[in-house]
Amino acid sequence: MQKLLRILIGIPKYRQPDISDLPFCAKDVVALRNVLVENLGIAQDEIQCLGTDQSAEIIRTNVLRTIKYASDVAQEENILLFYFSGHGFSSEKEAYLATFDTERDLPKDTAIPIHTIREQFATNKARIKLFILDSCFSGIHAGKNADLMTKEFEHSLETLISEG
Amino acid sequence: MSVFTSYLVQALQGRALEVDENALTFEALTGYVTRRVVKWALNHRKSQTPNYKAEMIGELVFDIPNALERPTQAAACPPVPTYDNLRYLIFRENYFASKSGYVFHTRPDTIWGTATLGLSQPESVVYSDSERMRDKISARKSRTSGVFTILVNFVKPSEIKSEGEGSFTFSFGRFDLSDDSEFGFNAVLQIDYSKIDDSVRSFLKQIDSQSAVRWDYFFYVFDNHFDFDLITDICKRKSFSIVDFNPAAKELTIKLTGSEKDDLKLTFWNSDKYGAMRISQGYTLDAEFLDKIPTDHLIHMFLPALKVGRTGGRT
Repeated sequence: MQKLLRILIGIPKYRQPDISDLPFCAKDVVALRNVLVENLGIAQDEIQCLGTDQSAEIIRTNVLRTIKYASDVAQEENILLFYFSGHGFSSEKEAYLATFDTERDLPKDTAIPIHTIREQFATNKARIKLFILDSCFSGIHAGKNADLMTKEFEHSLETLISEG
Repeated sequence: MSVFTSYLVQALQGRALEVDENALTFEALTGYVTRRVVKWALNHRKSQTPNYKAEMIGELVFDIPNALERPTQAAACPPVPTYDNLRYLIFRENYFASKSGYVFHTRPDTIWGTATLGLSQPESVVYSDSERMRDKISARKSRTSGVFTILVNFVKPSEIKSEGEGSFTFSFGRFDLSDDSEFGFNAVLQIDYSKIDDSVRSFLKQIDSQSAVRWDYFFYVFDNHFDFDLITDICKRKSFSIVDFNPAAKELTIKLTGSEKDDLKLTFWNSDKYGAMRISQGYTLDAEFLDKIPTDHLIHMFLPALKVGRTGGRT
Protein backbone atom coordinates (compact mmCIF):
# COMPACT_ATOMS: atom_id res chain seq x y z
CA MET A 1 0.00 0.00 0.00
CA GLN A 2 1.15 3.49 -0.69
CA LYS A 3 2.39 5.59 2.16
CA LEU A 4 -0.36 6.97 4.27
CA LEU A 5 -0.59 10.42 5.70
CA ARG A 6 -2.81 10.07 8.72
CA ILE A 7 -4.44 12.90 10.52
CA LEU A 8 -6.76 12.00 13.35
CA ILE A 9 -8.68 14.76 15.04
CA GLY A 10 -11.08 14.50 17.94
CA ILE A 11 -12.81 17.43 19.56
CA PRO A 12 -13.89 16.18 22.98
CA LYS A 13 -14.41 19.50 24.70
CA TYR A 14 -16.33 22.64 23.74
CA ARG A 15 -16.21 26.00 25.41
CA GLN A 16 -19.67 27.24 24.53
CA PRO A 17 -22.28 25.94 26.99
CA ASP A 18 -24.86 25.01 24.37
CA ILE A 19 -22.44 22.72 22.58
CA SER A 20 -22.19 19.51 24.53
CA ASP A 21 -18.82 17.92 25.22
CA LEU A 22 -18.08 14.67 23.43
CA PRO A 23 -15.58 12.86 25.65
CA PHE A 24 -15.79 9.71 23.53
CA CYS A 25 -14.15 11.58 20.66
CA ALA A 26 -10.83 11.28 22.48
CA LYS A 27 -11.34 7.54 22.78
CA ASP A 28 -12.21 7.40 19.08
CA VAL A 29 -8.94 9.01 18.11
CA VAL A 30 -6.89 6.82 20.44
CA ALA A 31 -8.61 3.65 19.29
CA LEU A 32 -8.12 4.50 15.64
CA ARG A 33 -4.49 5.41 16.23
CA ASN A 34 -3.92 2.13 18.05
CA VAL A 35 -5.41 0.06 15.29
CA LEU A 36 -3.30 1.86 12.70
CA VAL A 37 -0.19 1.13 14.73
CA GLU A 38 -0.92 -2.33 16.04
CA ASN A 39 -2.82 -3.87 13.16
CA LEU A 40 -1.77 -1.95 10.08
CA GLY A 41 1.83 -1.67 11.21
CA ILE A 42 2.13 2.09 10.82
CA ALA A 43 4.73 3.88 12.89
CA GLN A 44 3.19 5.95 15.65
CA ASP A 45 5.22 9.01 14.79
CA GLU A 46 3.72 8.97 11.31
CA ILE A 47 0.30 9.68 12.72
CA GLN A 48 -0.74 13.18 13.66
CA CYS A 49 -3.30 13.17 16.43
CA LEU A 50 -5.27 15.96 18.04
CA GLY A 51 -7.61 15.48 20.96
CA THR A 52 -6.43 12.22 22.50
CA ASP A 53 -7.33 13.41 25.97
CA GLN A 54 -10.87 14.05 27.13
CA SER A 55 -9.85 17.40 28.54
CA ALA A 56 -8.04 18.50 25.41
CA GLU A 57 -9.08 21.92 24.20
CA ILE A 58 -8.52 21.68 20.46
CA ILE A 59 -8.97 25.10 18.98
CA ARG A 60 -9.68 26.07 15.41
CA THR A 61 -6.11 27.08 14.74
CA ASN A 62 -4.84 23.64 15.77
CA VAL A 63 -7.03 21.96 13.20
CA LEU A 64 -6.31 24.44 10.43
CA ARG A 65 -2.56 24.08 10.95
CA THR A 66 -2.86 20.32 10.78
CA ILE A 67 -4.82 20.50 7.56
CA LYS A 68 -2.30 22.90 6.11
CA TYR A 69 0.52 20.59 7.12
CA ALA A 70 -1.09 17.75 5.22
CA SER A 71 -1.47 19.91 2.15
CA ASP A 72 2.13 21.04 2.30
CA VAL A 73 3.78 17.66 2.69
CA ALA A 74 1.56 15.42 0.61
CA GLN A 75 3.14 13.80 -2.42
CA GLU A 76 1.39 12.24 -5.35
CA GLU A 77 2.05 8.70 -4.19
CA ASN A 78 0.52 9.37 -0.79
CA ILE A 79 -2.85 8.36 0.51
CA LEU A 80 -4.24 10.99 2.81
CA LEU A 81 -6.41 9.71 5.64
CA PHE A 82 -8.24 12.51 7.40
CA TYR A 83 -10.42 11.50 10.32
CA PHE A 84 -12.55 13.88 12.34
CA SER A 85 -14.68 13.03 15.36
CA GLY A 86 -16.75 15.86 16.76
CA HIS A 87 -19.70 18.11 16.21
CA GLY A 88 -20.77 19.37 12.83
CA PHE A 89 -23.35 22.02 12.14
CA SER A 90 -24.49 24.38 9.44
CA SER A 91 -25.32 28.03 9.29
CA GLU A 92 -26.59 30.09 6.39
CA LYS A 93 -26.19 27.17 4.01
CA GLU A 94 -22.58 26.64 4.98
CA ALA A 95 -21.45 23.53 6.81
CA TYR A 96 -18.88 23.65 9.59
CA LEU A 97 -16.88 21.43 11.87
CA ALA A 98 -16.92 22.70 15.43
CA THR A 99 -13.84 23.11 17.61
CA PHE A 100 -13.31 23.98 21.27
CA ASP A 101 -13.43 27.71 20.60
CA THR A 102 -16.37 27.66 18.21
CA GLU A 103 -19.07 30.22 18.86
CA ARG A 104 -22.33 29.29 17.23
CA ASP A 105 -23.19 32.88 16.37
CA LEU A 106 -19.81 33.46 14.74
CA PRO A 107 -19.31 30.33 12.69
CA LYS A 108 -17.28 31.90 9.92
CA ASP A 109 -14.72 33.17 12.37
CA THR A 110 -14.69 30.44 14.99
CA ALA A 111 -15.52 27.15 13.25
CA ILE A 112 -14.00 25.37 10.29
CA PRO A 113 -15.99 25.74 7.10
CA ILE A 114 -16.16 22.64 5.00
CA HIS A 115 -15.26 24.70 1.98
CA THR A 116 -11.96 25.62 3.64
CA ILE A 117 -11.04 21.96 3.90
CA ARG A 118 -12.21 21.51 0.35
CA GLU A 119 -9.98 24.26 -0.92
CA GLN A 120 -6.97 23.02 1.03
CA PHE A 121 -7.27 19.50 -0.23
CA ALA A 122 -8.11 20.51 -3.78
CA THR A 123 -4.49 21.58 -4.14
CA ASN A 124 -3.20 18.61 -2.19
CA LYS A 125 -1.02 16.36 -4.32
CA ALA A 126 -2.05 13.10 -2.68
CA ARG A 127 -3.49 10.71 -5.20
CA ILE A 128 -6.12 9.37 -2.86
CA LYS A 129 -7.78 11.43 -0.17
CA LEU A 130 -9.86 9.54 2.31
CA PHE A 131 -12.07 11.62 4.60
CA ILE A 132 -13.79 9.98 7.51
CA LEU A 133 -16.08 12.31 9.38
CA ASP A 134 -17.77 10.90 12.45
CA SER A 135 -20.02 13.83 13.20
CA CYS A 136 -23.47 14.13 14.61
CA PHE A 137 -25.75 16.98 15.50
CA SER A 138 -27.29 15.59 18.63
CA GLY A 139 -25.22 17.66 20.97
CA ILE A 140 -25.91 20.99 19.34
CA HIS A 141 -29.21 22.68 19.86
CA ALA A 142 -30.28 22.88 16.27
CA GLY A 143 -33.73 24.23 16.97
CA LYS A 144 -36.34 24.36 14.27
CA ASN A 145 -33.91 24.00 11.43
CA ALA A 146 -32.39 20.73 12.54
CA ASP A 147 -33.41 18.81 9.45
CA LEU A 148 -32.43 21.60 7.10
CA MET A 149 -29.06 21.87 8.74
CA THR A 150 -28.46 18.21 8.36
CA LYS A 151 -29.30 18.26 4.67
CA GLU A 152 -27.13 21.28 4.11
CA PHE A 153 -24.30 19.64 5.93
CA GLU A 154 -24.68 16.49 3.94
CA HIS A 155 -24.73 18.43 0.71
CA SER A 156 -21.55 20.19 1.69
CA LEU A 157 -19.90 16.91 2.51
CA GLU A 158 -20.89 15.45 -0.82
CA THR A 159 -19.44 18.48 -2.55
CA LEU A 160 -16.31 18.17 -0.51
CA ILE A 161 -15.86 14.54 -1.38
CA SER A 162 -16.61 14.90 -5.06
CA GLU A 163 -14.37 17.88 -5.51
CA GLY A 164 -11.71 16.99 -2.98
CA MET B 1 -16.42 5.37 21.60
CA SER B 2 -18.88 6.39 18.96
CA VAL B 3 -20.78 3.60 17.26
CA PHE B 4 -19.40 4.43 13.85
CA THR B 5 -15.77 4.57 14.96
CA SER B 6 -16.01 1.44 17.08
CA TYR B 7 -17.08 -0.56 14.03
CA LEU B 8 -14.51 1.20 11.87
CA VAL B 9 -11.85 0.08 14.34
CA GLN B 10 -13.23 -3.44 14.37
CA ALA B 11 -13.03 -3.59 10.59
CA LEU B 12 -9.44 -2.38 10.57
CA GLN B 13 -8.53 -4.86 13.28
CA GLY B 14 -9.38 -7.55 10.79
CA ARG B 15 -12.95 -8.50 11.50
CA ALA B 16 -14.05 -7.42 8.04
CA LEU B 17 -11.42 -9.54 6.35
CA GLU B 18 -12.26 -12.56 4.33
CA VAL B 19 -10.72 -15.84 5.40
CA ASP B 20 -7.04 -16.16 4.46
CA GLU B 21 -6.75 -12.54 3.39
CA ASN B 22 -4.69 -9.73 4.82
CA ALA B 23 -5.94 -6.94 2.62
CA LEU B 24 -9.14 -5.07 3.24
CA THR B 25 -10.83 -3.43 0.29
CA PHE B 26 -12.60 -0.11 0.64
CA GLU B 27 -15.83 -1.83 -0.32
CA ALA B 28 -15.42 -4.49 2.35
CA LEU B 29 -14.59 -1.84 4.93
CA THR B 30 -17.63 0.30 4.19
CA GLY B 31 -19.86 -2.72 3.93
CA TYR B 32 -18.81 -4.02 7.33
CA VAL B 33 -19.24 -0.67 9.03
CA THR B 34 -22.54 0.08 7.36
CA ARG B 35 -24.13 -3.23 8.22
CA ARG B 36 -23.20 -3.02 11.85
CA VAL B 37 -24.02 0.64 12.36
CA VAL B 38 -27.42 0.19 10.77
CA LYS B 39 -28.06 -2.94 12.81
CA TRP B 40 -27.08 -1.14 15.97
CA ALA B 41 -29.29 1.81 15.08
CA LEU B 42 -32.27 -0.39 14.40
CA ASN B 43 -31.79 -2.26 17.65
CA HIS B 44 -31.59 1.02 19.53
CA ARG B 45 -34.45 2.66 17.66
CA LYS B 46 -32.25 5.31 16.13
CA SER B 47 -31.71 6.51 12.61
CA GLN B 48 -28.10 6.26 11.61
CA THR B 49 -26.66 5.21 8.30
CA PRO B 50 -23.10 5.95 7.25
CA ASN B 51 -22.84 7.74 3.97
CA TYR B 52 -20.04 6.87 1.60
CA LYS B 53 -19.09 8.65 -1.56
CA ALA B 54 -16.16 7.50 -3.59
CA GLU B 55 -14.66 8.52 -6.88
CA MET B 56 -11.70 6.41 -7.74
CA ILE B 57 -10.12 4.34 -10.41
CA GLY B 58 -8.90 0.97 -9.31
CA GLU B 59 -9.16 -0.38 -5.84
CA LEU B 60 -8.22 1.12 -2.49
CA VAL B 61 -6.84 -1.61 -0.27
CA PHE B 62 -5.70 -1.53 3.33
CA ASP B 63 -3.02 -4.03 4.24
CA ILE B 64 -3.63 -5.44 7.69
CA PRO B 65 -0.57 -7.54 8.43
CA ASN B 66 -1.36 -7.90 12.11
CA ALA B 67 -5.03 -8.70 12.05
CA LEU B 68 -6.09 -9.61 15.56
CA GLU B 69 -9.36 -11.22 14.82
CA ARG B 70 -9.87 -13.42 11.84
CA PRO B 71 -13.17 -14.97 10.90
CA THR B 72 -13.15 -18.71 11.20
CA GLN B 73 -14.17 -20.90 8.31
CA ALA B 74 -17.40 -21.72 10.11
CA ALA B 75 -18.23 -18.08 10.63
CA ALA B 76 -17.47 -17.23 7.04
CA CYS B 77 -19.75 -19.98 5.80
CA PRO B 78 -22.69 -20.00 8.16
CA PRO B 79 -25.21 -22.81 8.07
CA VAL B 80 -28.14 -22.53 5.76
CA PRO B 81 -30.05 -20.33 5.92
CA THR B 82 -28.05 -17.47 7.29
CA TYR B 83 -29.69 -14.58 9.07
CA ASP B 84 -26.61 -12.46 9.50
CA ASN B 85 -28.06 -9.80 7.31
CA LEU B 86 -31.71 -10.54 7.73
CA ARG B 87 -33.48 -7.54 9.14
CA TYR B 88 -37.19 -8.11 8.89
CA LEU B 89 -39.65 -10.77 8.23
CA ILE B 90 -42.63 -9.06 6.72
CA PHE B 91 -46.02 -10.64 6.51
CA ARG B 92 -48.38 -8.86 4.26
CA GLU B 93 -51.82 -9.38 2.88
CA ASN B 94 -52.45 -7.40 -0.22
CA TYR B 95 -56.01 -6.29 0.44
CA PHE B 96 -54.81 -4.30 3.42
CA ALA B 97 -52.67 -2.18 1.21
CA SER B 98 -54.57 1.05 1.71
CA LYS B 99 -55.91 0.48 5.19
CA SER B 100 -54.78 1.74 8.54
CA GLY B 101 -53.54 -0.36 11.39
CA TYR B 102 -53.75 -0.06 15.13
CA VAL B 103 -52.44 -1.79 18.17
CA PHE B 104 -54.44 -1.38 21.32
CA HIS B 105 -53.06 -1.63 24.78
CA THR B 106 -56.00 -1.64 27.08
CA ARG B 107 -56.32 -3.44 30.35
CA PRO B 108 -52.73 -4.64 30.39
CA ASP B 109 -53.55 -7.16 33.08
CA THR B 110 -55.76 -9.15 30.77
CA ILE B 111 -55.30 -7.89 27.25
CA TRP B 112 -51.71 -7.12 26.58
CA GLY B 113 -51.56 -7.05 22.85
CA THR B 114 -54.39 -6.70 20.42
CA ALA B 115 -53.48 -5.88 16.90
CA THR B 116 -56.13 -5.28 14.31
CA LEU B 117 -55.35 -5.11 10.66
CA GLY B 118 -57.44 -2.61 8.84
CA LEU B 119 -60.28 -0.47 10.07
CA SER B 120 -62.63 -2.01 7.57
CA GLN B 121 -61.51 -5.51 8.45
CA PRO B 122 -61.86 -5.55 12.23
CA GLU B 123 -62.34 -9.28 12.21
CA SER B 124 -58.80 -9.79 10.99
CA VAL B 125 -57.30 -9.91 14.42
CA VAL B 126 -53.64 -10.74 14.45
CA TYR B 127 -53.42 -11.44 18.12
CA SER B 128 -55.53 -11.07 21.18
CA ASP B 129 -55.46 -12.59 24.61
CA SER B 130 -59.18 -12.33 25.08
CA GLU B 131 -61.53 -15.23 24.50
CA ARG B 132 -63.78 -13.07 22.37
CA MET B 133 -60.97 -12.19 20.02
CA ARG B 134 -59.72 -15.72 19.97
CA ASP B 135 -63.07 -16.77 18.58
CA LYS B 136 -62.64 -14.29 15.81
CA ILE B 137 -59.17 -15.53 15.14
CA SER B 138 -60.53 -18.99 14.78
CA ALA B 139 -63.28 -17.79 12.55
CA ARG B 140 -61.03 -15.75 10.35
CA LYS B 141 -57.87 -17.74 10.62
CA SER B 142 -55.93 -15.96 7.97
CA ARG B 143 -52.57 -17.48 7.37
CA THR B 144 -50.76 -14.27 8.12
CA SER B 145 -52.60 -13.89 11.36
CA GLY B 146 -51.78 -17.45 12.24
CA VAL B 147 -48.08 -16.89 12.01
CA PHE B 148 -48.11 -13.95 14.30
CA THR B 149 -50.49 -15.51 16.76
CA ILE B 150 -48.25 -18.49 17.12
CA LEU B 151 -45.14 -16.36 17.36
CA VAL B 152 -46.52 -14.06 19.99
CA ASN B 153 -47.37 -17.06 22.09
CA PHE B 154 -43.67 -17.30 22.76
CA VAL B 155 -43.72 -13.86 24.32
CA LYS B 156 -44.25 -13.50 28.02
CA PRO B 157 -46.89 -10.89 28.82
CA SER B 158 -44.52 -9.23 31.25
CA GLU B 159 -42.11 -8.61 28.41
CA ILE B 160 -44.54 -6.56 26.38
CA LYS B 161 -43.74 -2.91 26.35
CA SER B 162 -46.40 -0.68 24.99
CA GLU B 163 -45.14 1.91 22.59
CA GLY B 164 -48.37 3.47 21.61
CA GLU B 165 -50.61 3.17 18.66
CA GLY B 166 -49.27 1.04 15.90
CA SER B 167 -46.56 -0.98 17.53
CA PHE B 168 -45.26 -2.86 20.48
CA THR B 169 -42.04 -4.56 21.39
CA PHE B 170 -41.18 -7.74 23.12
CA SER B 171 -38.03 -9.40 24.26
CA PHE B 172 -36.79 -10.61 20.90
CA GLY B 173 -38.39 -8.25 18.48
CA ARG B 174 -40.90 -5.68 17.55
CA PHE B 175 -44.22 -5.63 15.81
CA ASP B 176 -45.41 -2.67 13.79
CA LEU B 177 -48.48 -1.86 11.89
CA SER B 178 -47.87 1.08 9.66
CA ASP B 179 -49.02 2.63 6.45
CA ASP B 180 -45.93 4.66 5.73
CA SER B 181 -43.28 2.02 5.29
CA GLU B 182 -41.46 1.39 2.06
CA PHE B 183 -43.85 -1.39 1.23
CA GLY B 184 -47.08 0.47 1.80
CA PHE B 185 -49.15 -0.79 4.66
CA ASN B 186 -47.43 -3.61 6.43
CA ALA B 187 -47.48 -5.73 9.46
CA VAL B 188 -43.77 -5.72 10.18
CA LEU B 189 -42.30 -8.24 12.51
CA GLN B 190 -38.68 -7.53 13.35
CA ILE B 191 -36.78 -10.41 14.86
CA ASP B 192 -33.54 -9.92 16.72
CA TYR B 193 -31.78 -13.19 16.11
CA SER B 194 -29.32 -12.65 18.90
CA LYS B 195 -32.12 -12.66 21.44
CA ILE B 196 -34.39 -15.46 20.41
CA ASP B 197 -34.38 -18.68 22.37
CA ASP B 198 -34.43 -22.20 21.02
CA SER B 199 -38.19 -22.46 20.99
CA VAL B 200 -38.64 -19.39 18.81
CA ARG B 201 -35.70 -20.37 16.67
CA SER B 202 -37.26 -23.73 16.09
CA PHE B 203 -40.52 -22.15 15.09
CA LEU B 204 -38.87 -19.78 12.66
CA LYS B 205 -36.91 -22.61 11.18
CA GLN B 206 -40.15 -24.43 10.64
CA ILE B 207 -41.57 -21.44 8.81
CA ASP B 208 -38.48 -21.08 6.69
CA SER B 209 -38.06 -24.69 5.77
CA GLN B 210 -41.66 -25.58 5.13
CA SER B 211 -44.18 -22.86 5.30
CA ALA B 212 -43.02 -19.50 4.07
CA VAL B 213 -44.09 -20.12 0.52
CA ARG B 214 -47.59 -20.86 1.72
CA TRP B 215 -48.33 -17.26 2.63
CA ASP B 216 -49.69 -14.89 0.08
CA TYR B 217 -46.69 -12.65 0.56
CA PHE B 218 -43.63 -13.24 2.60
CA PHE B 219 -40.73 -10.81 2.64
CA TYR B 220 -37.20 -11.33 3.71
CA VAL B 221 -35.54 -7.97 4.07
CA PHE B 222 -31.80 -7.75 4.27
CA ASP B 223 -29.38 -5.00 5.15
CA ASN B 224 -27.71 -5.52 1.80
CA HIS B 225 -28.76 -4.95 -1.75
CA PHE B 226 -29.26 -7.72 -4.22
CA ASP B 227 -27.05 -7.93 -7.27
CA PHE B 228 -29.47 -8.38 -10.17
CA ASP B 229 -26.74 -9.50 -12.54
CA LEU B 230 -25.85 -12.32 -10.22
CA ILE B 231 -29.49 -13.27 -9.79
CA THR B 232 -29.82 -13.43 -13.55
CA ASP B 233 -26.81 -15.70 -13.75
CA ILE B 234 -28.25 -17.97 -11.10
CA CYS B 235 -31.54 -18.13 -12.97
CA LYS B 236 -29.76 -19.13 -16.17
CA ARG B 237 -27.96 -21.93 -14.40
CA LYS B 238 -31.16 -23.13 -12.74
CA SER B 239 -33.37 -22.57 -15.81
CA PHE B 240 -35.64 -20.17 -13.94
CA SER B 241 -37.68 -17.72 -15.99
CA ILE B 242 -37.21 -13.98 -15.74
CA VAL B 243 -40.76 -12.70 -15.57
CA ASP B 244 -40.10 -9.00 -15.25
CA PHE B 245 -37.17 -6.68 -14.79
CA ASN B 246 -37.71 -3.03 -14.05
CA PRO B 247 -34.34 -1.31 -13.69
CA ALA B 248 -35.95 1.99 -12.72
CA ALA B 249 -37.84 0.39 -9.88
CA LYS B 250 -34.87 -1.83 -9.06
CA GLU B 251 -37.14 -4.83 -9.17
CA LEU B 252 -36.62 -8.23 -10.68
CA THR B 253 -39.18 -11.03 -10.69
CA ILE B 254 -38.45 -14.62 -11.55
CA LYS B 255 -40.66 -17.67 -11.74
CA LEU B 256 -40.09 -21.22 -10.69
CA THR B 257 -42.41 -23.54 -12.52
CA GLY B 258 -43.24 -26.96 -11.16
CA SER B 259 -45.77 -28.02 -13.73
CA GLU B 260 -48.15 -26.38 -16.18
CA LYS B 261 -50.30 -25.09 -13.37
CA ASP B 262 -47.74 -24.56 -10.64
CA ASP B 263 -45.55 -21.57 -10.23
CA LEU B 264 -43.77 -19.72 -7.52
CA LYS B 265 -42.65 -16.15 -7.96
CA LEU B 266 -39.63 -14.59 -6.34
CA THR B 267 -39.32 -10.85 -6.50
CA PHE B 268 -36.09 -9.12 -5.61
CA TRP B 269 -36.27 -5.46 -4.89
CA ASN B 270 -33.70 -2.91 -3.77
CA SER B 271 -34.85 0.12 -1.86
CA ASP B 272 -32.53 2.85 -0.70
CA LYS B 273 -32.00 1.03 2.54
CA TYR B 274 -32.74 -2.61 2.00
CA GLY B 275 -32.70 -5.52 -0.32
CA ALA B 276 -35.93 -7.50 -0.17
CA MET B 277 -36.87 -10.91 -1.42
CA ARG B 278 -40.56 -11.62 -1.73
CA ILE B 279 -41.93 -15.09 -2.12
CA SER B 280 -45.40 -15.42 -3.53
CA GLN B 281 -47.29 -18.38 -4.82
CA GLY B 282 -49.58 -19.00 -7.71
CA TYR B 283 -53.19 -19.79 -6.94
CA THR B 284 -52.92 -23.32 -8.16
CA LEU B 285 -49.75 -24.18 -6.37
CA ASP B 286 -50.07 -27.50 -4.66
CA ALA B 287 -48.41 -28.84 -1.56
CA GLU B 288 -46.40 -31.42 -3.43
CA PHE B 289 -44.65 -28.74 -5.42
CA LEU B 290 -44.04 -26.65 -2.34
CA ASP B 291 -42.49 -29.57 -0.55
CA LYS B 292 -39.98 -29.89 -3.34
CA ILE B 293 -38.80 -26.34 -2.84
CA PRO B 294 -38.16 -25.64 0.84
CA THR B 295 -37.90 -21.96 1.54
CA ASP B 296 -34.49 -22.23 3.11
CA HIS B 297 -33.22 -23.64 -0.18
CA LEU B 298 -34.61 -20.63 -2.01
CA ILE B 299 -32.95 -18.24 0.41
CA HIS B 300 -29.67 -20.06 0.26
CA MET B 301 -29.76 -20.14 -3.50
CA PHE B 302 -29.88 -16.37 -3.78
CA LEU B 303 -27.88 -15.29 -0.74
CA PRO B 304 -24.70 -15.04 -2.82
CA ALA B 305 -26.46 -12.27 -4.73
CA LEU B 306 -26.54 -10.11 -1.63
CA LYS B 307 -23.93 -7.46 -2.02
CA VAL B 308 -22.52 -4.60 -0.05
CA GLY B 309 -23.27 -1.07 -1.02
CA ARG B 310 -26.09 1.32 -0.62
CA THR B 311 -26.72 4.95 -0.01
CA GLY B 312 -28.30 6.56 2.94
CA GLY B 313 -28.02 9.29 5.48
CA ARG B 314 -25.15 10.40 7.59
CA THR B 315 -23.60 9.08 10.72
